[in-house]
Amino acid sequence: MRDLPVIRSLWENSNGVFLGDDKPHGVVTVEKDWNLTTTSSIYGSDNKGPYRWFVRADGSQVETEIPNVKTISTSRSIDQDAGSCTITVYNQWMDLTGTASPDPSSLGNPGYLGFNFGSSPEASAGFSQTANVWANVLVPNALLRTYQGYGGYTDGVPDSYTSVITAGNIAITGVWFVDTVSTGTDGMITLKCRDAAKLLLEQHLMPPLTPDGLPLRYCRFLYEHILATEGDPGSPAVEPATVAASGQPVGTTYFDSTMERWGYVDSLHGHRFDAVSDGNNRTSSFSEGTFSPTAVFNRNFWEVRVNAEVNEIFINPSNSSMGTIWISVREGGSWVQRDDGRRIPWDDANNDGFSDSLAAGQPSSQPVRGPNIDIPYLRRVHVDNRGRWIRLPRRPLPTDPSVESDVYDVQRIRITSIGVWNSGIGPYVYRSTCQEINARLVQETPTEEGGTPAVPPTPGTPAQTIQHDGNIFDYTEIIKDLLLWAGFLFFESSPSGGADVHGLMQFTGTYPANCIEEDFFDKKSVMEAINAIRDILGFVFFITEDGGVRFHSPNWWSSGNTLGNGDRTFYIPDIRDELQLTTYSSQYADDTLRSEIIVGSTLPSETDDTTQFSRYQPDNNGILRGMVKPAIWINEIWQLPVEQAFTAAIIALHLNFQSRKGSLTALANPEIQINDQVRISERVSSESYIHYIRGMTTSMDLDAGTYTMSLSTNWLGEQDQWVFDAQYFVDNFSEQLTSLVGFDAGIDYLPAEPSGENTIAAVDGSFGSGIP
Amino acid sequence: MALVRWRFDDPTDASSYTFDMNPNEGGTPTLKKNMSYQNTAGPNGVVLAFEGRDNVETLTVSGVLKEEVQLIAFQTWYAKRHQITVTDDLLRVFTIYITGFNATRKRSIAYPWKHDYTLEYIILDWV
Repeated sequence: MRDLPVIRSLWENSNGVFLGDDKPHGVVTVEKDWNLTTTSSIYGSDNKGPYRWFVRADGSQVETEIPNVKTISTSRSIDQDAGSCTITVYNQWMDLTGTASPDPSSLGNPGYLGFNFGSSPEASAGFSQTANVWANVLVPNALLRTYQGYGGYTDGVPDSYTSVITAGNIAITGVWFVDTVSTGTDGMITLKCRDAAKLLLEQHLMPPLTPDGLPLRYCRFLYEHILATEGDPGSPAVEPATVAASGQPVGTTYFDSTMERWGYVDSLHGHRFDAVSDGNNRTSSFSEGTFSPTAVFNRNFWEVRVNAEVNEIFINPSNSSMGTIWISVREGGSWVQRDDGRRIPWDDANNDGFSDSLAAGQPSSQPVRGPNIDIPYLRRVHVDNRGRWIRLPRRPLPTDPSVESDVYDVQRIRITSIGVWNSGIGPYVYRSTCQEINARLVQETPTEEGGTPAVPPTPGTPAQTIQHDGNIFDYTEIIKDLLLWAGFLFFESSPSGGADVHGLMQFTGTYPANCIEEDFFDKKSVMEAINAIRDILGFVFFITEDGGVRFHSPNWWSSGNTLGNGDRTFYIPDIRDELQLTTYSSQYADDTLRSEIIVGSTLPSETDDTTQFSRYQPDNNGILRGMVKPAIWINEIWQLPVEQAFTAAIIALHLNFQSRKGSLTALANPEIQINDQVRISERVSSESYIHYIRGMTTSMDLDAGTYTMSLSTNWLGEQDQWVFDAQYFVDNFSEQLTSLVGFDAGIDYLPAEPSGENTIAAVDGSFGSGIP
Repeated sequence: MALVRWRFDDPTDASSYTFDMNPNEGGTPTLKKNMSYQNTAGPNGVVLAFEGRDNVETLTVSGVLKEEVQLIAFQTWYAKRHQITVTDDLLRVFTIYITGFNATRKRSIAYPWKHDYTLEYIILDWV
């Protein structure tokens, strides 16, 4: 629903008189210099670019009005991927009186607006044509905008279109990309166009549309299945002639980290620096992110207290790409030195907060998170994502140098890392991680002959599973990425935050239970991928008149409409048979109705008791008269009874919509959009109900001055006689399904009267705090 | 009051032609708006009245030609593929484009080239 008060007033109150200065008004412009412009990989605080855009946030595009427009016809539908538009233009340019036509045999300059008018020497010589300002303008992929409405004339002469827009008499009714240009001897140019969905249909998900090197894999959670190996953590290492006689981890407590020195002193942003010593193998600590895997400040440490005698240290960096890890041990009030005196190559000798001894060639002006970083270390190791126990080196005991031992009276352990990996989280994705630091004392004793050594876990069998946050929290974030790459960036020359999508999107409240893998997207058009996710959620996706996107729950849960800024409104346009409605027909059919909807995980079988299915009996107002006419859908996606029951109810809802439809023609109203609700008042069919607009076409003939629309609708009923029992969904599914199928978002529409608090958030900057 | 003769002027080449005899019929354009109507569905419903772009103003004049040179002159001005101006005896000046010229020969012993003619043109502008 659009808020166009001037047009609404004329549409509601003109009593059918659209004459003189109130007659229909249509304008078509072309943005001659547009290109699908690409940003760099970093845009504002987002770094998953390059993104693409065709709309400037400041509206500074230069538009040129196309003269001689005769007709503008548009078509949009919830059920079609792209809206379409056909524009016809008189292909003629009249010379001013007193100016002789270049071709004395022709009146004016027929063909003047054609893209190749006078472009060849032969045409120039033979037809006295010269290329003009319209050369190569009205061509495929020209970017057109249509503006339509009523009024905006002075003594029958149209005012400048910009002033008419400002006055509110006309409003944008489409942003169109030309598919086909037809010219001919009839003196007309016909432009067949699609809306901005063309960008989603024509472009496919592969580099360079998607960022090179960024895997298209979306996960709410990442799971590490750690397989047992020889010497696996927690398993006594069995060596020839020895057996571990002890080895229980002593536990650690967090002491210090680079994250804390950076100021992230709480668990916000997922850093959770204390996760390294919480004994929980499902949590990890993430460093602050950086923009590059080679940035010199990819250096982090975690330090934990031990205060016990130990000789093995356990490190799980949570990822195999962490590279070199230095292990430092503090004993007797100082960091233990190696014989060769080596220290971590990361110095800040003058204590100014910047490194002084990074590797040669690296800038020395990078922050190093504070002083005293270049401490001694005992071991330098590589550890994969399974983690491992690392034995400390033997050294002469401080109390008796004649005795060597690998046992240390450890006060604290620090591990330092320069490795990062692409976590996919936040605007700066390259992070160090550490899942756990622990320590233990393993005393080895000779195996007694005939004794029974401890049995290690079988290598290759699962030992434990660790859950991490993935790279999304909501389905909508996937849609956002796809749209930004395809061209729907709402471009700001100096972005203040992250990348915003041009349009209106709604968080779904849910996420994929399993990772969406690359093959889900591979070489699909962007629209195919979006539609696949849309269908999982039961959302709608379409392009609006201003070229933006809409992605949200369908507008049928309660009466009312959603404005362009996401606000809900009571206003429902009333199309009345004595004022606007010219024809109406309704259809009520039983071909789509079913007595029962059954959704099952597999086909029912007497011998297979693992089959899970749910039944839903729609309220068909007794139309089927007792006939048994079930529908069965087998889909292994839905395994839980509540999921299946919800799916069955939604299917029944859609079938019910299809059984009762309306079709009308009326005076056009640019306020009305698909997915809106209108009330139809027509006495022959005794129609006075609210309908959901499924499809809409408009037709404007500027010669004849006609401007009409056709709507295809689904019957919704009245507030107290709604087409379906919305409360049924609330009672049966709202709690159970919140995290399963995205119903949470739709449920907010259910109150009969909009509360004023909308659940649709403009995308601009509304995608959560993210992780810095 | 002295007789004012009609005159064609072609600004592109500064040529002109003054009628030997003024037309004897017509000369004031017909004005017509472009209207469309649709009935709303209700029995007492309003009529949707749409106004489009005005129809092009057309004009027809007729008269008599007596000499061959007059006929040739009309044919010459008809052949011009651009707008010209016409000034009538009331000194009204219109920018016109001639869309039709129909000459019908009439028997006359004194004037073997005598024709009745009808000249049709559209008005592009009033000057």
